[in-house]
Amino acid sequence: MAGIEYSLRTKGLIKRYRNFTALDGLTMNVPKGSIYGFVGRNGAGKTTLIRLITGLQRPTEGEFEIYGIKNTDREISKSRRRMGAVVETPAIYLEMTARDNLKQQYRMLGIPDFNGIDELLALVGLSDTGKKKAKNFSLGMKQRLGIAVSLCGDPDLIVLDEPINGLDPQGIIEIRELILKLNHERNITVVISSHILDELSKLATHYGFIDHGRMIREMSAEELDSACRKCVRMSVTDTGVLSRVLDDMEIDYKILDDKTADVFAKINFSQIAGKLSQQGCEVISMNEKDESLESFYISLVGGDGQ
Amino acid sequence: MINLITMGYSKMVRSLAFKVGMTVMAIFPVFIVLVSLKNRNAESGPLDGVYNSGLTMIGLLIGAFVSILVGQDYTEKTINNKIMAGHSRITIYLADFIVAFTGVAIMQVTSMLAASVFAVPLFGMYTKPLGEIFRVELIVLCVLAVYTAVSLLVTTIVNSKNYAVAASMVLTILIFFSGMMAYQVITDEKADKALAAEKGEVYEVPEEDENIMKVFRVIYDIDPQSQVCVISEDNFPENAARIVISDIAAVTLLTAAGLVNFCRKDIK
Repeated sequence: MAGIEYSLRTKGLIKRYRNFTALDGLTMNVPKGSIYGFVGRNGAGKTTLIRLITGLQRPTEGEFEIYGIKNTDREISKSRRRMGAVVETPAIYLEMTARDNLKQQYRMLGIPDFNGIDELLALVGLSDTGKKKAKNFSLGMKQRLGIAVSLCGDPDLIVLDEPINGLDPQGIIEIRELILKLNHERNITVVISSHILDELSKLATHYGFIDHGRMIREMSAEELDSACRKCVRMSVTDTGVLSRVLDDMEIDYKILDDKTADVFAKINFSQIAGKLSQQGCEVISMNEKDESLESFYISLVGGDGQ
Repeated sequence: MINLITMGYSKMVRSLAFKVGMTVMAIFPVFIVLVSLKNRNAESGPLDGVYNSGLTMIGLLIGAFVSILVGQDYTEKTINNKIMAGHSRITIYLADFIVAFTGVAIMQVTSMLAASVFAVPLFGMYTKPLGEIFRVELIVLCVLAVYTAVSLLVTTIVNSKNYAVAASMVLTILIFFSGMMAYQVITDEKADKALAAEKGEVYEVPEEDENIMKVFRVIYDIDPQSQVCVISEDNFPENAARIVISDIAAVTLLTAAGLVNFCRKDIK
């Protein structure tokens, strides 16, 4: 893919723990400026991959590069400074306030003044937490503080591991808006691992589907949209009659059982209902339905996922 | 490394473990002074050695302090931030050692000051020359470094605050009792030798005890708790050079082992 700049690339990454292979030759390409949804069931290898690229663990084989710097290069530590990450749970000092947590991160990064802290707190919506210690924060607030910590030092790439796990609906919306803001306003490339597919579909511009430590498929959101077909699920008294009517109208469909079928086209309800009625078949119900990311994923991994 | 040390100091001064350690090390020698005051009589002189009374239990204190301070990074996963910020694991480990050792040294100084603030006005200035006190304190720092290195090694192996505290405490208790035992055995042997010399006899260790006595002599020289007992005697330690050399060797060895473990470790 010449011409595309990548923030992160992995090539044939393998990670073995004694007899267990968590990553089995995983290759991934994260385009610069994208929101890359990293999709896989629990245990597929998402967190392991994140641990490898953040330097918490070392690959058994294979390599990766961050902004063109290979993991075997001495300069990788400088490259990691362009990256922030929240791996599993937010890495924060629970006995400190949000501001003190950010100050600690600034000190660690050697940033001489704390001028950016107010802006960061405002960005993640924690400006008014005052002297409240992080241990008393809600899960969503901790998650946002974790993201704020990962944003210290103005990274170009952030990696978020299951950022909405355990959050209430309001918390999920807040994190989603924050991620979009970071991507759109600060042009930060975001890699999000998740198994909550519907939520990912509201954010991601690119997807990587992983199963058993292998990349099954990488695709853009546009490619996925065309792969996920919208349909209308119809319940009728006789799908035999429905199939004859749809064949006559040259409409693509799939019979699910003797009363239900999925119709893959925009249909004129009155016209179909009229034709069915003429042949003694009644429409019981009709609902528009996406062949969602979830069902697409299941079709990719062979049906036993999620 | 300076960034990590600065951050570590900032974390340490806020930590409850450090505050509790400081309080304990300040109160304990004062308690010793007050007990001495109660037992004071007309012949009582200056209270030499009270400034080192906090050393008696500092091994246990260091075990708890280091494992809580450093173990917190593993429990709260903040170790991830250090690694992801691009710091090498060697730097992270050494910075943790320096921060923890500084904290322990501050506790010892606090203990000395607290003892002196009460002991000197009540009992008069110590009879030992200041130069000797400082020389002994340099040996004390070596002992504290060994305890710190042991606790840091245990903490990075266990990598959970709670388990690290338990493991460090068990290990320091073992060190404590083996050191006390070796000190007692060797002191008794010295007393027997002195008594034999007084009688004009030559003291000889029974042949069957020779090997076990060799083990006790080694423990006497290298065990930090035994060294604490030697330092707490009124005289300048006769085995000072051996203490310093064995402590430097122990710290080097323990730190090297800790670095090998930490550098190869998969952080969960």
